[in-house]
Amino acid sequence: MATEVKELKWIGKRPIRPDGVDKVTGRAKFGADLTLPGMLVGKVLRSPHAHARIKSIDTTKARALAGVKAVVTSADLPELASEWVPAGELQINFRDLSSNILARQKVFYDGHAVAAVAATSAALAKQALALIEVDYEVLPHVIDVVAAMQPEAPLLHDDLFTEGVTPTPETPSNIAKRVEFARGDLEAGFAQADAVVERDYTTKPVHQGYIEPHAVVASTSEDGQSEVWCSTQGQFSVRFYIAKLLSMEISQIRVTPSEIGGGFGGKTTVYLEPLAVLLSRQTGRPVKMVMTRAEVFRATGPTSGAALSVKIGATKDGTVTAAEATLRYQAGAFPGSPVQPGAMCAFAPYAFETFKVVGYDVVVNRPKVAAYRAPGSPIAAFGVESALDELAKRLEIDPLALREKNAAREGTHAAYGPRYGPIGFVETLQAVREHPHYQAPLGPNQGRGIASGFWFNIGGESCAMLNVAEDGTVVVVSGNPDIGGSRASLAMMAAEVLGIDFERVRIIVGDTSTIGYTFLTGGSRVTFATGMAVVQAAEDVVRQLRERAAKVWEISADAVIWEDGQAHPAGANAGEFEPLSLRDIAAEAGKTGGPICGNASLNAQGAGPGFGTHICDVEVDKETGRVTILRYTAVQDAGRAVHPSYVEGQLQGGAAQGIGWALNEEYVYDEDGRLQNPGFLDYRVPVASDLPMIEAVIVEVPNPNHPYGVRGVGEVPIVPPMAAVANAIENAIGVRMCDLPMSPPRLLAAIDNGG
Amino acid sequence: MELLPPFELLRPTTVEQALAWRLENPNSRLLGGGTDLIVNLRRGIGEAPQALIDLNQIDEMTVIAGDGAALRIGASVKLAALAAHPLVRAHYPGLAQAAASVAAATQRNMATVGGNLCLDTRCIFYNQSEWWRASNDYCLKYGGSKCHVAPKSKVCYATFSGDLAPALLVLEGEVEIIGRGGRRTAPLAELYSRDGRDYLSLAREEFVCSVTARAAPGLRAAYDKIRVRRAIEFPLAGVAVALARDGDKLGALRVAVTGTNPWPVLLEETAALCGGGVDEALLQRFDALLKAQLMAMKTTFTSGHYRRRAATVLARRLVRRLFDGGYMGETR
Ligand SMILES: Cc1cc2nc3c(=O)[nH]c(=O)nc-3n(C[C@H](O)[C@H](O)[C@H](O)COP(=O)(O)OP(=O)(O)OC[C@H]3O[C@@H](n4cnc5c(N)ncnc54)[C@H](O)[C@@H]3O)c2cc1C
Repeated sequence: MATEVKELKWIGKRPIRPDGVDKVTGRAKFGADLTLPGMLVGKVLRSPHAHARIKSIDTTKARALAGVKAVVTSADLPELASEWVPAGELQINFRDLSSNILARQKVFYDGHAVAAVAATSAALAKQALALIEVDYEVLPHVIDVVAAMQPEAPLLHDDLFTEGVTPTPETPSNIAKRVEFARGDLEAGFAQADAVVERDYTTKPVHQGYIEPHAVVASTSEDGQSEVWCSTQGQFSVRFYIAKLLSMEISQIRVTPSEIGGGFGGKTTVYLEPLAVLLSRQTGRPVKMVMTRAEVFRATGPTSGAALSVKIGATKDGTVTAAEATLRYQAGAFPGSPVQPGAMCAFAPYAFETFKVVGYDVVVNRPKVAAYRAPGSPIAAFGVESALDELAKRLEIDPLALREKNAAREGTHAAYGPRYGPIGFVETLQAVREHPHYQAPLGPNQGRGIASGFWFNIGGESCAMLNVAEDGTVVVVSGNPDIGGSRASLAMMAAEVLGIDFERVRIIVGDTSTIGYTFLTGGSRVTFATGMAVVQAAEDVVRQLRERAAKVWEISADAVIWEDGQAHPAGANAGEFEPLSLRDIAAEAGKTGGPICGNASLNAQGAGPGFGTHICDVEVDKETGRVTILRYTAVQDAGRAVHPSYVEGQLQGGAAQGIGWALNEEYVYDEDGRLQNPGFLDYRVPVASDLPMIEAVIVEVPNPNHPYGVRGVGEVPIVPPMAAVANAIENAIGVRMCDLPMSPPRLLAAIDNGG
Repeated sequence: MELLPPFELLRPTTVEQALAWRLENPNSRLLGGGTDLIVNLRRGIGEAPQALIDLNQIDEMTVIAGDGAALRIGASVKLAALAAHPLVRAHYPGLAQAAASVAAATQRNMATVGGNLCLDTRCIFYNQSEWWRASNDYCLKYGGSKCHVAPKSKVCYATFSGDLAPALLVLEGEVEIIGRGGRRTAPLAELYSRDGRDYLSLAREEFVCSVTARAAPGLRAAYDKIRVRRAIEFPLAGVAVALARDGDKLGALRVAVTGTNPWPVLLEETAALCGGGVDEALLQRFDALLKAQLMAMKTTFTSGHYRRRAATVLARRLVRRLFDGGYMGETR
């Protein structure tokens, strides 16, 4: 493997990130930072009801207000047919996306957009919203997934007939889809088991919690060309969605991604962007729209809340004989929860021979869910990894040993279909076993839990461009907004291939017109797929450099090799020449054939599946129900850590978000389906003082499909924490928590009830 | 973030000037650090004021002075300064603990003692956006006629959640108030009414100039709060205890609680608990006192019952620790 033979200069080092200085000095420009001359302010009117029919919308008074330049409703958006297209890790239906951006006949959740205005000031825009008269007929609503599945539940869409069951039902329901993955004879499998654990679990919808709210500026000129600046994980997706939603040609739209203040999957879709373009088109002026935090909570996608049932049986020696799971995921107002990936991931870490997973995608009166780190997987893992822990206890086996016994390895026929190539799950378990944390002593009311997790990681389409400047420095253009330090790792790969100093490589994120189509930043794909494109583009540059040197030396390009940032004659036969550096060749580029520019475009295949195992120690205050995370170690196979600090950062960030999900984050809805806690004060993400230093341990089992062995790393780390925390609590005080979040009042109630 | 309404900003440098401007501008609000007031104004809570009177430029209001027996704290002293002050840390540790537990570092750098004592009461149905409150027909505390926490109630149950008040109440806190008649002092407990809506007993133009704490010899005091997060979190319940030992008996006991009632509760009838040792029987009587005097209303996302119970747990622990001479130190 390339990684083992070659001595690497940059891969695995920790240089300072290219975006670091601007971020710590406050110079970095985020979504809301752009201001254009003549710019208007756009604002959205949102539904106060969880479910209602819109009888009429009267915008006359708002339009009459001086300073108001445009008011739009769904009547201004073209009607689209139902059409599913892949969108990152989830699927998107343009008809639904359009209705989510501006409600059509009905509003489906508290905060659903019904109209938008553009005015000369924020105060006027706000005043205008108050002048829009919407006549609602309030309908019964449902926000709980199990309740929504009942035949008598209030129906959201009267044209929704469950997919995936034959025959297709004749009556509509809130169940959009049923999926199933199964193998073997379940009944026989459970009959062989010496112990069976069967439990129901629930998880709450949780928000990605990115610090930067959605923000956009759009400017449309008289000839219909639109420029858009926004905070997004995918400028090309934004361009495509706007084109679809507003019936425009793709090339009429140019989208520039700003610096991004967090996304975690939540910025792979659009909310404001098409509205800003529409308002700008109607007014002929630039329009800026920025969400408030309350809008972010009320109207943008969290991940699903869910109700799960998990049953796992094993023989005395810990061999799992059968496993079954039923997953019911909230999709929010429109179909499209991550239940399918959840079902695929549920048993993915294990070599179970007999299993069945059934998943239901269920619409409820909540905001449409969006991708959130490893969409669907953490929810399923909470159930499966909790059940395995209980099973281990029942069998009196070390929970780690139970996982080792059943772990998937290279060659295992994965529960979701393919056979695994080289994977590092077992290596993560081994690293846990060998880590001092696993054996460290615990005090009273303290406990330790472990849990594992899986994510596919994806590849996909990417372009990269490398331009060699006259002085031999290099500018890399990538098409992926950088949300996890990818500029650093891409530039490092370019420096590695070119054999030059990292400081001589500058990297920017291009807009949709400066770089070729690149699929969005999601699925932990960037360092793998776009990294591969950067490597190929750099190799393209190297080829050209060798040709230029050959030209200077008047020998054949085959007789030139590139080593340590210099062209050398391949051997004695090639002749004797002083090596030519990148700087030398760049200076003469005009004379040897013109500027040097490397390009690559590819559709990366062979992403490396990712596995992680976490160890969590807690202390439980039995009188208040409060849980303190004492120590936390996250182990993960990174394939190859290009920049270990940013891999560690991903592991720490994922674990921190998972701990919030486990302990405190939840949406509180009142009886009318109105969100009561749309803010960070009462939607409780953990703060620094709630967390210990999370230790990140990187295991490296290279992915053979990437030049440096890279796997994605950004998503796996949010998968194990919920079960790791629940297992630790059980270990501490013998109380098994099956419902999230395990907040102090809930845990205290469970302690009162004797678990 | 929502828009701030327009207002005039007035910056008096003496209490007299502040009072004069206060009298001239009946529709003004007092500005400490603004960490509560500005949030509320942005949300359209309360009438938009014509003027904000900034109390931070008045020298006498920014001073901490005193000794181990008594401490005068200007109302415009920042919480960060209070928490870090050597005198406070040495002799009034409960006060330092309370100040250090407010919000997070950024708020404490701005927030003032006066603002914390006069902090508006809080409720699920009140600390919400204009839009949210409108779609819920507002509430008894502001703009509406119905209390959503207790629909038949004529009084508002919005909860007082300041951290400093209990710590000062157990140290015989006394406030100095500026008003039409000049300066007057009053026990801190009297600063508060019993209604979450008009939660202060101040006259329209009055404001707090300073607060004084006292520490009798041998008195041990501490503050602790229960919260879900360790920072950026109002107290689900906060408890201050000050006690003195008389040999192996409890000689004096004062207990105050925040986060449960519309006012910071200075527990009544604690004297009856004194004179014996601290054992389980005493603690059960203590529990009963707390249960009788603390409310359990659903004004936050954490149920009132949980908050009251947690307050009881904290109170017991503090009493035990202080009685046993625990690590929290003595006030002298
Ligand atoms: C995220 C967050 C978390 C918070 N957490 C906590 C917490 O844990 N504990 C806590 O106690 N508070 C908390 N707070 C509330 C607030 O920050 C503090 O209570 C702070 O001490 C208020 O002081 P201030 O000077 O900023 O008050 P301001 O906002 O300036 O004023 C608050 C109120 O007091 C009035 N006022 C100010 N000074 C005087 C005076 N001298 N005389 C009469 N009236 C006066 C004002 O008119 C206003 O009505 C939190 C706030 C936020 C935003």
